[in-house]
Amino acid sequence: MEGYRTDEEQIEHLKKWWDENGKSIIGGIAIGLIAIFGWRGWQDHLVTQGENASDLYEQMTADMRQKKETNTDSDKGIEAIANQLNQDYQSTPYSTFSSLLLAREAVEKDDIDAAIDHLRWVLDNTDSNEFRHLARLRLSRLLLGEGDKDTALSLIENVDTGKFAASYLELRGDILIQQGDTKGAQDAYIQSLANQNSIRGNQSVVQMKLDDLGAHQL
Amino acid sequence: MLMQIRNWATGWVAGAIMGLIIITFAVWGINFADQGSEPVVASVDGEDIKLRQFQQAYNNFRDQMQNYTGKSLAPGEEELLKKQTLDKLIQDEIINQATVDNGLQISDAGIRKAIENIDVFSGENGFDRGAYEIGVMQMGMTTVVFEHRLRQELMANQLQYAVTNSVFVSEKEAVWLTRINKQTRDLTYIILPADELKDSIEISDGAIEQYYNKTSRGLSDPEQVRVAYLELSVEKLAEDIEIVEETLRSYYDDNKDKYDVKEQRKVHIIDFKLAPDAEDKDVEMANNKAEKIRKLIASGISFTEIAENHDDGTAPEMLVSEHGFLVRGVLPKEIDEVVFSVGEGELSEVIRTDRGLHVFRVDGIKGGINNTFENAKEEVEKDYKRSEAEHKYFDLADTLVTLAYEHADTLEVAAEEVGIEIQESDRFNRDSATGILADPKVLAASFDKEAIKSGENSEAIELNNNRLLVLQVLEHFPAEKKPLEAVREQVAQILKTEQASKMQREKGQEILQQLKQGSSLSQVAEALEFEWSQAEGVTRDDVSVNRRILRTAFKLGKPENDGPTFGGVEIGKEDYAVVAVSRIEYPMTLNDEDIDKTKAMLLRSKANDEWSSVVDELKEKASISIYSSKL
Repeated sequence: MEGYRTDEEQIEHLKKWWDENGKSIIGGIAIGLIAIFGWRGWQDHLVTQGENASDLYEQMTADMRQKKETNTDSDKGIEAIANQLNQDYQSTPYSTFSSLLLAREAVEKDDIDAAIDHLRWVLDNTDSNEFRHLARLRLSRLLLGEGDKDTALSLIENVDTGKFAASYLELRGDILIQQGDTKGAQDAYIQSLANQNSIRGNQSVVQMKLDDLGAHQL
Repeated sequence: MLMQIRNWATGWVAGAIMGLIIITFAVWGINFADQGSEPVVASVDGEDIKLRQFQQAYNNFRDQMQNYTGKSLAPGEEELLKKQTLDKLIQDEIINQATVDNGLQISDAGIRKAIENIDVFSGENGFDRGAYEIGVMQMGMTTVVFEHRLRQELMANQLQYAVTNSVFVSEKEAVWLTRINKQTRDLTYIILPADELKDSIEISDGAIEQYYNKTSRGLSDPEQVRVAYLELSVEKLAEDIEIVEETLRSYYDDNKDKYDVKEQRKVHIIDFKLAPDAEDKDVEMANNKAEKIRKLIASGISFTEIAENHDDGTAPEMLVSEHGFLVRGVLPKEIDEVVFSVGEGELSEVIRTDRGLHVFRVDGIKGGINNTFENAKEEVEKDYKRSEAEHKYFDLADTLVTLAYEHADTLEVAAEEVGIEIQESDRFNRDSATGILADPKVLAASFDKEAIKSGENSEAIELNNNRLLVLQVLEHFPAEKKPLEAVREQVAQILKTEQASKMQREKGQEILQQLKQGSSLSQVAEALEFEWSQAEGVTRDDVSVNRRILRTAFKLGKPENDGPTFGGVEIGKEDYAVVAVSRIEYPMTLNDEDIDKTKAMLLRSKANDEWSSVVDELKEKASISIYSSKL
């Protein structure tokens, strides 16, 4: 690298450098700033979306509690909020929550088709692995109740069941009983009991189902 | 270096670097602030759980436990509780992170609403900002921290609500399980008790000796110790605090707020109704009536008596009322002023307000002029003694700990200096200790191997309610085997039971064997000379059949055409039973109540299950490090 003999030369050199690169630098700064504001704006938008959805969800759950307490049948408000969450706030987790809650409401009103739709929606749309498990288990159980044993079974096969294994195996047992496979059901229940999680309230229920099949000859 | 950058930084590269630098600072900010080197007990996906946080939670749990059981925790329990506390903190952290990862949000309005709904923050007119700020401060937090935590909690609640409240149970499922649950079974069974055979069994001296030589458990006197100890407690120190009235008075003056009661008065009122614009004639009539009644009361007639017998029914209408202790501002203003200015037992003049005329008497005063030292003396004395004792306690505790350590072979030096007496216990074992010696920590120190061997003072043991104890083992009596003659009968009984139990088990298995080979129930009973018991139509919770038999019976398979299903089970440690199921009956009709019960039970257990699956799954995916050495 050559040195500079005088200040003038150095200034001259800088000016030249600036003439060559000035535009790129200003452009770079501009791109940087646009990126920042764009990013921040997008983040703000997401937060606002989330907060609005959260407020709606709070409203919805409060209405649900009140409905339960006062034992009224009017769920117009609840449904309206849920629809809004599903349409306008699909990218937030609250649409998943509200769909799951609506599925329960539908089952309570014996509108199984609607419940199935809600759960399918969650299964197809949620980003959460855990909520996908919940939706899948509940959906399969509803289908079983409707007599659609094969779909119910295919839905829960080849699934990485993780910590939901005990629930999947219990459900599998329930389906196999309906399909007339007592031996298979026994195996599923035994495995379900062996896969219990930290706090399992359901253990005695699975045990009861298994006992009813007469699993052991003592 | 700079030179290189300059040469390098031409054209688009220069722009890109500039842009990157700006983005970096804008998004992450310049964070040179010291992150602090606070000790960390665990980390969950990079988020630390601080030692301080852990200690706070642990202390809370421990206090709750101790309040509940009334005892301090044994060392083993402490370890367990520490582990549970840490598990809880880790789980909370995992859930908090999950709420953030899932994109849950709480708006500022949502936070505000939640805070306003917390009862302790509300004053007379709903939410009270001052009460909120003070309340949060008392919890040792700033409002910023409090709101941050509340936000986390609200989000965690949202998540949990979505899981546990979306659980459903279909009618079919509930019916199915109710049917299984409500089935009844016909049982045939026999209990084969060891006791039945015991008396007919002979045990040889040789067998007894052999058992005695092999076994020491149950045949020994337990290990015992005798200890000396010093107990320092605030309660005992308080007893010896001497008091001077003057000191108490100044203590009272310093802490007057604590003893003062807001002024309240109990009052009887008689109202004579009179319109504000009543004519003179009516006013006079009312006045006459009021004065007459007032005189009656002054002469000693009770208000009840007046209300019942002395209203002659003439105008104006008269109303007698009694009011419990009232604070200022409850009664109409004109009456209130007078009520709070007269003395106890004083009968008022007739007062006129726009509602009419009133006469009243103040029957009791709390607070106000009764906020005196004399009235609070008992409490003041107690508090004063306690606070003095606490000061003294901390000084003396220090001395005690130091001297007991420096003069490890005797308690006397410490006792003398601190001024408490050495107490000596009688012999005791782990189960027979009483009083303060039965405390798990004290027991552990009394039977500590090192302490027994060295005979030196124990470490100071801190107990609940501000108590401190140091002990020294005076004598140690190791567990000692009792002589053979003292336990001969005991051993004989043990061996008899053992043998009888074995014989019954073999008999039970013989019964099962014959049933398996196809003999009928009655054939087996005849061949092996016993009688079956019968229980028909028993339910799962039938109390007339032994529990073990019942549970076994409901686990046996369904009987088919080729006969009953059967099985054997041990009852207790000694007896054996065989049970056969000959018939299962499912209920023909189910009542709604039972179905609803099943439904509620299933909802509960599914909600628990699914929530714990969600938490376990999140935990599985998180990377958790625990630094247990810091606990």
